[in-house]
Amino acid sequence: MNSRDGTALVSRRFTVAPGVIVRSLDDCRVAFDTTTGNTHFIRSINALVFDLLASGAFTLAEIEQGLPLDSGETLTEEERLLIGTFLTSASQAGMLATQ
Amino acid sequence: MTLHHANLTIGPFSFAIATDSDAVASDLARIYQHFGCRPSSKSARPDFVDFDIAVRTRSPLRRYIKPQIDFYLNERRPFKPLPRDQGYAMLEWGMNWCIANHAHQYLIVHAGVVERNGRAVVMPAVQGAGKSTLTAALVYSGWRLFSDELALLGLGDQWAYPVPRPINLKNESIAIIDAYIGGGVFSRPAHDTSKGTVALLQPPAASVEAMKIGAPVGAIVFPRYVPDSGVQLTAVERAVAFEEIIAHCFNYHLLGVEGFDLLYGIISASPCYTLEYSDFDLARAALAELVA
Repeated sequence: MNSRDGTALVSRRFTVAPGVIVRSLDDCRVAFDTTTGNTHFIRSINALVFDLLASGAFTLAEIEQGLPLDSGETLTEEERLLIGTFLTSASQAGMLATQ
Repeated sequence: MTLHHANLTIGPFSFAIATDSDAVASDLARIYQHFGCRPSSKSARPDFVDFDIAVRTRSPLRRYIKPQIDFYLNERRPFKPLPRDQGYAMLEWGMNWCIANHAHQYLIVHAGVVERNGRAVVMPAVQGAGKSTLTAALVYSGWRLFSDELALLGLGDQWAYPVPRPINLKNESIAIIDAYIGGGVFSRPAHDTSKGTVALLQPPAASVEAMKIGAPVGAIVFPRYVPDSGVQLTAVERAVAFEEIIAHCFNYHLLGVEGFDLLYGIISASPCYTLEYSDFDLARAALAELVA
């Protein structure tokens, strides 16, 4: 996948990569990549994205639908942008696998 | 030239030390007095030691012209030589290096560690933050010294383990601590080192007696000396503390998932703070509340 390609981002399904261990510290997710030895800290809306991706593989649209938001609340444009950037950078860092 | 020999057991580590410097041997005897250290011209090396080290003058010519001294581990010199009057400081720095680079049965953090009421306070900080100075003030006021420099965190049980070596004080901290504790036993000061003037403070006898006894971590505190601040203890988000403490680890990346699990275990169970201080008594009282 060319993760810089916005079209590809939409069509792919993302999941937490094998070998990535995820722990919670308050509102933050701490992910340890056993392949690289790198530790990542995931905050804000992306912590919820990471929780979702730990349970399966989802497209961007499914992620946006599946986030546990408060009743009636929808994602802001800024949050959508954050999620898109996260999916791209986390895939490049090896934390996320794509299908 | 006499070669002085000494054997030291410090916490979980054993050292066989040799030096041809009378000054280094003299400082060694004075600073490690509570360890029963008596350098001798006769080598009585145990069958097994963790670190076989020496501090020796570089060459016959260098004994007289700008004399230099080398640190050896297993007869290899890992560092460039230093001026001979920095020999004792070099020995201590070399001992730190030995532990930090070899003792991977622990996660090793660049941190002061003190204990009170059976719980250890781990104080990671960059050089110059005032970590050793605060550690010295605490351990001469009723706290137990684990280390002013190296936190040893057990991979199996997540406890902190003592390695109560001399406290490395620099520049104005030497006189400040000497005054605060009412006269300490210091090594000869080494001037013009890369850290300025350095002197090593003898560890308290009670800490040496208890050097085999570890403790669970009670709190993580990032200390910083700030002039005229009194004391300011501020809670830190644990994820921020986790990120910060990784930067102070010597072997986190070497230990892989074991290091991650250990740090996560400690941080998820421990309150984390920053401590800005300028007053030792206030800082001591604030820290005492964390392990009351």
